[in-house]
Amino acid sequence: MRKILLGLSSLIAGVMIFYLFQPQVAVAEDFQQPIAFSHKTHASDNKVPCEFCHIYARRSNSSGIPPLVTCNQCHSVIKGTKDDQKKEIKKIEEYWNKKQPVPWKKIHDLPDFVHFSHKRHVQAGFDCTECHGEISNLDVITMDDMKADLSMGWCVDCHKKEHITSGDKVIGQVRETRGGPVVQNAPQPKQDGTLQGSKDCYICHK
Amino acid sequence: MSKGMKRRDFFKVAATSGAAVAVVGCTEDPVEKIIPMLVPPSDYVPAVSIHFATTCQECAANCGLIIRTREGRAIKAEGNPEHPLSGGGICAIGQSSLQGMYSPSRAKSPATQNDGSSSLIGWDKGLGILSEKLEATKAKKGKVLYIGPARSGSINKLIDRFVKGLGSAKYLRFDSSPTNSIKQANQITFNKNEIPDYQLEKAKTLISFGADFLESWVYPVKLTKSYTEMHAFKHGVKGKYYHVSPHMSLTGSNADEWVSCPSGGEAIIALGIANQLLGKSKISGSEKKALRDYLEEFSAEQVASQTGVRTSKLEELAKEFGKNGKSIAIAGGNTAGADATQLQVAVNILNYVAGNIGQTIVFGADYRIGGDSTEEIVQALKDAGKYDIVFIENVNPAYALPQDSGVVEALKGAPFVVSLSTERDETSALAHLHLPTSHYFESWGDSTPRNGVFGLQQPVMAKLPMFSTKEIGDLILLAGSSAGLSGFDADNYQEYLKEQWQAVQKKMGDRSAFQTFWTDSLKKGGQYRDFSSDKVSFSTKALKQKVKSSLSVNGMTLLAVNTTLHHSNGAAANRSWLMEVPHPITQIVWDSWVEIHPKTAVKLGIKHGDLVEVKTPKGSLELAAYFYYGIEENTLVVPAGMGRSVPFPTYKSSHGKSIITPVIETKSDLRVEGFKVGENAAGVLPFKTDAQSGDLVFTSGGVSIKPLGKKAYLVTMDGQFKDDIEALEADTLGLMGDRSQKGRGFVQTTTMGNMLGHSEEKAHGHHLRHRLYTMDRKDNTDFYDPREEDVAYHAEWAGKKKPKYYDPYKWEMSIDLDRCTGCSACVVACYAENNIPVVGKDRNAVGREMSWLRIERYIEKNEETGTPEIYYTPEMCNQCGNAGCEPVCPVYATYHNEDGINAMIYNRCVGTRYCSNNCVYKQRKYNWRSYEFPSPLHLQLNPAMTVREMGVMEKCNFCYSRIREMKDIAKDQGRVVADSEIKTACQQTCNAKAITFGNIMDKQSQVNKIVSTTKRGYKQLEEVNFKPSITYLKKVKHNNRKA
Repeated sequence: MRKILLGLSSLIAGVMIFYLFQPQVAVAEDFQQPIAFSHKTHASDNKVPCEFCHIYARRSNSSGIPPLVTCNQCHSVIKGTKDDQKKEIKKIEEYWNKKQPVPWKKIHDLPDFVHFSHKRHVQAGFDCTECHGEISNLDVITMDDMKADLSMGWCVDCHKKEHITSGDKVIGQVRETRGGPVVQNAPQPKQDGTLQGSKDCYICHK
Repeated sequence: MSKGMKRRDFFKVAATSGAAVAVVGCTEDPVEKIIPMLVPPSDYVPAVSIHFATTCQECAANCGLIIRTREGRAIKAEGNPEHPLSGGGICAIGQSSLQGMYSPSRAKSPATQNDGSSSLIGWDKGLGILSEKLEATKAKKGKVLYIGPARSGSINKLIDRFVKGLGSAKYLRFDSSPTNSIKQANQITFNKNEIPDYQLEKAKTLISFGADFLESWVYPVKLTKSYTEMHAFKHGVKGKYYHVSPHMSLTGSNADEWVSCPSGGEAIIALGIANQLLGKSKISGSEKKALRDYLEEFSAEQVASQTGVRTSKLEELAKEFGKNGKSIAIAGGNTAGADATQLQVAVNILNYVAGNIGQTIVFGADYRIGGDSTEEIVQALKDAGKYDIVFIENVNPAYALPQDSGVVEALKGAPFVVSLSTERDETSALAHLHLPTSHYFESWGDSTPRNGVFGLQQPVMAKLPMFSTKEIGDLILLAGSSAGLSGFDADNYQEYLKEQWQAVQKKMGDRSAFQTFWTDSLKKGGQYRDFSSDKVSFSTKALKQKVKSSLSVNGMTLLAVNTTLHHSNGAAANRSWLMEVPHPITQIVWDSWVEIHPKTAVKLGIKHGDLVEVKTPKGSLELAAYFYYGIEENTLVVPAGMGRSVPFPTYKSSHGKSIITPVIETKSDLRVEGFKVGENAAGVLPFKTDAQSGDLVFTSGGVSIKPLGKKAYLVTMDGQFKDDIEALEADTLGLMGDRSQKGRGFVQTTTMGNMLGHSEEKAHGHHLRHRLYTMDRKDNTDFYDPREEDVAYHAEWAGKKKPKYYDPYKWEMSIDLDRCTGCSACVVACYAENNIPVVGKDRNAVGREMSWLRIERYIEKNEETGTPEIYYTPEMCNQCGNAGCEPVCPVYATYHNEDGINAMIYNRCVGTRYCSNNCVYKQRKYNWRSYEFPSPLHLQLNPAMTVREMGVMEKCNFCYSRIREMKDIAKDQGRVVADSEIKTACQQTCNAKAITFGNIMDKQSQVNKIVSTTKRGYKQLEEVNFKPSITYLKKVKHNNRKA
């Protein structure tokens, strides 16, 4: 009886582990983007603010991936300086001529049962980097570069915190622009209150 | 532990399998793509709903719609509150229009068809073939036939010009609903060939002679609204409604009294009442004399002997109806039978005698309901062989007409049939060339359902990419210009429509710039104004109509009826929501049935649920027998509009039963193949039309029924299981069981006398007579603390910060059962809003339906009259303040949220189902499988709601996604949500305005006012003290005879 049960449980375990190696699990190569877009070149070297492209972050739940027309508006003029830049920028032109959108791959991916509002967090004064990290320093973003794992525990931890505010806006490091470089020795605004996220499950679970 | 296993072994087993499960549970999702738009429209914002006003084309009533879109996809259809006909609500079929657009059985691309084989050819080739044919026809001035749907818009003019330009042509509009008899009778009686405005709200008494005005008769959405205005209890007043028909339909079940009469007896009764009223009538002189002569033979005694309606009942009807123009009689619909026009004339005479014309029946509106005479259409189709081209656009005569009509054979013999239908249906299968048109959600159009209403229909989204289609307007313009006709040079149909609307602007007397007018019309869904009423006078010509005062009976009579979910045109019969939602009276899903009187059935040796053969003179059907007292003893009723033979998802499990391991169903397992649901009742009727109007007759005499000695696979959702049949109150006749409330008092009633303070509360005690326990605590205190105090106590005790409850919101609902008609539009709306899966017949049979909202139906017997009384109540999660489900959840997947909602966190749920066991209202539904939304139906899914998977519990959450959306908008504007800003999906679609929803903490809110001031509020199963958030308002009866 004991042998049978142990055998059976190992068998179940075996079957489960077999499923583990099925191709549904994402691996690093899967995140290769169709165009080698560099956040560093845009946001850091050329100081393009985050919300210049991600225009919906302030007014919607979704920050939005820039539509191809946004890329094309600049890159119909800016063709790149280095060879590899020229090669990648040419791809935009190709997509545009084919009238096809770019099939980007999602790195910061929340589960489908989660409701997350960019608008609410941006309007409360949080900076993009608080969740996404210093994206502007990265050429290629992978899962490993994510500042936060976007797990529920991480969300709840932050929602438990009493965030210090000034004029109803959360105080953080002073930056040149949202998501941009930190201004050193900037004067800190005066604290006048705190802000805490809701702990109702229905705030995020939909 | 038992002998065979030691404790340590148990842990080993548990540990290894547990680890394995844990590992599998944490596999990552595959990489998702995030594809932005190429060039977004200027007002586009992702994750924000955008609403478009358009017009419903499911029937010719053309209600106004507001379509909610997300990321460019239509996800929900709602009524347009500004539209004078729909006024905010829509019907069940209108709700399901989304499934029409995302239908898996839509035609993919143009195709040529030859002897059953079809090949996809693409538009270039398809249009090439068409223009070749058109040029040839034009050259020889050939004959053209165009059959289109019944509608009233600019497209009619365009099509007319198109077909007439080709040669000698006929353009006919097909609608199987019998409405021409109304126009014809008004022509005879009042010299006015129109469908008038029936202003039920002005009447105190309503008599319907078989007209199912809450379901399908002329413009049901508007009539439901005005009916509730008249009939729902308000300020101490409530109208009376009698239904005179051989069949107590859903509409009839709402009546204060159903008067059973044999099929064809309606006209006799109408004239019998007129006869009684004539004495007191204001009509005078020769007219009165002529009427007296005419009505002479319809004395109470004569009518009683012919129809079996007692003279005392006739006198009562006459007394109630004589209200000096404050009453209304209507008639018609599928039960009208072969002499539909005569019945209409009889009812016109009755209304005229009662002085209702110009009072409650107002001419001048000219409703464009219904198509051309069916007789004429069938004649034209039979001559299909003589036409060079036959166009058939989005109508399905091959399905909707009786097989006996010979239309299918005629179409097979036609030289060239072009189908312009959106779906691949029975008629397009007979076409030589199929050029699929876009769904109306993807097309431009307009409509004029009555004088003064100009509805505009705009595309609410881009054309679905998987279907290569063209808008009907564009297609006609293309065809016209390729045939070299003049007047077809508009760039596209939108431009053409704008030209046409310049005339509308003039008619409306609008002087702004056209672009302003156009944008305004698009926003409002059209332009609306009142119609000017026309005076009509009685024409004694009507008295030449001889209504037979005696009935000849030949065998049994079969009625093929429309319901709120099934329409004889069959367009809605392949929409899974309408199959899955139980028919309000029978509670049958995924099937058609035959309703039979138990006494008749027992005489013929038929038991409830038996498979029976119904034989008409022209065919036979195998159906399940459904025992129903709401039917005349010599009549059988079968729902029309089912039995389509088009492919749509089967929703059948592909696995057998497995004993050891649970069955895991993946996407690849699910079959999507053609199968037939129910039987086409109209198909076996002998083809007959009303001689005067050409209306199709949906009744057949000479019908027989016999048992086939087998049980049918009949699935009813009213919980009629074996135990019920042995219940105390069970009707043992033919084992039909107990359909009553079994004393549980879900639907409570009160009387007019009680409401006005004249009599004691009798009804209440009656309903609760079976209760074993009540909540009569002497000191009137509660066993439990209020939730806020309770939570505050525990938080303090644990040293935590106190959470805020019910500040500023606590969502509550009130449901007025005196208004609810049971139409089930709310149920369909709930399916659409909340991504509720359709599970199919097999799973419904084992009680695994997923509906969050159900219309519960109870049938009780009127002790005095012996007729059945039907009660409906919408049942959904009560969001209890002291819920049974919450404390038993071992993983806190369900909890009480700050707004008073019993929140359900799906990914936290482990599926113990304790909550469901502990819910007294049985409102929790468990996902036994991961259900499939077959492509492209998945595109309709609401992104604001999770699509649930196998193993989790779910239930109504008061449309929390809508609450969240509105709270979000309010927060942006720095305010709290105002009253009636949030409407739940069920409330939004309700034509009867039975549901009120809002914040009970707001003293000014509508729901607070109702709940705090009503004298007829009650909570269901109040004695278990779950503190439900839904307050039901008792149904008000005129007297206490009921139940």
